Amino acid sequence: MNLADTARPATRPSGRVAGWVRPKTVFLAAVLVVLAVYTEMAFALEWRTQAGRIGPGFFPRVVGIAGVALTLWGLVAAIRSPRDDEVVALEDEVGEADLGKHPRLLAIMVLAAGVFAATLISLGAIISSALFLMVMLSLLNRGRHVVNAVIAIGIPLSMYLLLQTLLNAGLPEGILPRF
Amino acid sequence: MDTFDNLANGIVAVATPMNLLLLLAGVMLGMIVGVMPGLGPSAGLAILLPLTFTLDPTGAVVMLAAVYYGAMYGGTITSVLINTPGESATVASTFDGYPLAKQGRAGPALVMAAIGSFVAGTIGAVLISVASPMTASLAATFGPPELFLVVILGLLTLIVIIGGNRLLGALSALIGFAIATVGIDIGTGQQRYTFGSVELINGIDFIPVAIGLFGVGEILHTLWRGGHLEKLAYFNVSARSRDFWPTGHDLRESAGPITRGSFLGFFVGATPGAGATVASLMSYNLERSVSKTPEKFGKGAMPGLTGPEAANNAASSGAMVPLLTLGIPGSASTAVLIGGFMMWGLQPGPLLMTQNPEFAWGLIASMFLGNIMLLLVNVFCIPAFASIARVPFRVLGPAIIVICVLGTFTVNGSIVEVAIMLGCGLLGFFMRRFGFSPAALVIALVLGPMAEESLRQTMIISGGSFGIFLDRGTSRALLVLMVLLLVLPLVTVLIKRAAARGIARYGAMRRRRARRSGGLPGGEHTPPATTDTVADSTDREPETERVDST
Repeated sequence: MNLADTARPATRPSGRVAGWVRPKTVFLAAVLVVLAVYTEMAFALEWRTQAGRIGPGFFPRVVGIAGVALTLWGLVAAIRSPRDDEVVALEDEVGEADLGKHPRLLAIMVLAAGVFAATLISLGAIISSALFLMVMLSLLNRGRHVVNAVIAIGIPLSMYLLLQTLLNAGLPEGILPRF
Repeated sequence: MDTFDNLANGIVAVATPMNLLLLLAGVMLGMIVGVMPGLGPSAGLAILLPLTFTLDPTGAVVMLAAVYYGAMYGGTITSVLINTPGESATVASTFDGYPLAKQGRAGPALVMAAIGSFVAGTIGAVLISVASPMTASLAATFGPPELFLVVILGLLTLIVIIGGNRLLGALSALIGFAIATVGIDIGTGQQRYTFGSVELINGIDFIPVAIGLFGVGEILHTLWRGGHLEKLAYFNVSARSRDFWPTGHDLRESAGPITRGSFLGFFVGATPGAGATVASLMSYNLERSVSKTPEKFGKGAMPGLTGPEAANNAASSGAMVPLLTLGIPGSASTAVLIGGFMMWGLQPGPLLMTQNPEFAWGLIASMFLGNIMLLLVNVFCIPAFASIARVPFRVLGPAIIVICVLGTFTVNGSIVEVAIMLGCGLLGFFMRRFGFSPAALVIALVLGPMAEESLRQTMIISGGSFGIFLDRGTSRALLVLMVLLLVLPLVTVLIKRAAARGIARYGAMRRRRARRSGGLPGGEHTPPATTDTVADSTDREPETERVDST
């Protein structure tokens, strides 16, 4: 993947895509699967206790069935009117130019955040945060190496001093000694 | 007299040097969060929640409340200076705020917005002092059936009034309810959806979900739509400039809109679900309709900024009424606040004002003091906050992710919660992208256990019969309200038409009267040309028509 492309505005998809393979439909289908599993598990829980009171499965069953029904409804609506796919929140419409969509950059951010969380305990809060910031700033804030380095070191250090040294909140020290 | 005594006690309790410092810190932090692109009050509250863990409950909630109304104002600065609302509640402030900045009147616009916020916040605090004890005494008569119905009513209101896609709003609330069922069942002690994980036995904590949905979710969404490429067009403001201060004419023409916006905002905000966004847009519409010079709206009319600004701040006070008296959060921000209350063992609801009066009244008192602080901070630090608004998203985005991850970890020292937070961030991104409502999810997550517990108690009282909801007078009234709420969308169109006709008639009458009494006051304002426009690459006229369609 050419990372240089990730910072450029991507073009909007112009071709017509069938309703059932559009992103919203896929998302609703995923929600449907999760809710179906949730509901199936709810049926393994008691509806009513032996004393005749509400059982642990009562609420999950009601929620699950209603959730599956609404998701199905939404799914059918999404397939029938695929133009509703792109929903833009009100605040996004005001004062902002169309800068394209950046799914690759989004994926990199999600991946980097996952690695950041996975290394948080082993490397420690300062090192893992600094590495995450360095990677992301080198992608988003290109060419400003000094500024990026200062931010990548300064923010984790300030957070550590505030949360650990001042508030004793229990941040992992990792490979650095606690201070 | 009780109200005044309680309020005086609350002020005494809050007015300690430590609490005043926390109030100041909260207001400052809130404004910093408010001016950051992509972060609103709910995200700010969620991210800053871990900072308050080492404080005493009163200090912590005073600080969080200050963050809340600080962030509500912070969004106005970006609306006026860079035509970018920090969150939906300040969308209406862009309509006339940005044109005012383009005319070289950014300073007066921001100062007038601060004054409007102060007046509205103070009126809101007075109204909350009166309304809260009354609502609490009414709510104290509620039993489990009524509490259950109130919870459902709150969610229904949210879904009906929130606008957009109601189906997806309801689905979001159900997902929130589903997440709330994870953990030990309170009635039988049986584990549900824990998959053998010790970390999930106590359920999914509210904080990682809120931080993920509002903090990480917003950052991912902003990144996805190219926030890192944005070139900010902003106006400089300097408190040293003579043109920084509003004129007498600004004050006179804003008095009415601020007063109307304050009352409208408070009552709209007190309705669960309708929040600051609805209040500010309603206020803008109202002001344009009753104005003697409606043609100036959208081109830099001060009432078009101060009315919605007052309404959005009064709505944040109004939202405290259902929160304090019924334990029902009316918005995403108050849902985060309620999560904070619960962390310190405080259960908002009818009994809060009788069992923890020093806390409840301390919070209300902090609103009075916080508003004074907000005004001072606003007026004298506007240039400083304006400079924060210039930090680009490409730097802020990754930094906020770091703050979210470290903040979540400090709550329970759990890496599973960090993973849940990131997962909810991704979920929040998709929810925003496809028109779901993260606010409804978070509110349902907070209300889920309350709904389940009250329903369980109701069934125990009634011996398993749902007929109890029809046997009790208050329950019947609540059921009728629910039915009315469900048919509301059907009659809304008719009500809107009738209201628009009425307001238009009133506006026309005012304009006729003004003409008869010697012409319309206040001609076109000629703005001073001293304000330095640094860049203006994304100039765009505000689209006031959007208000009508909302």
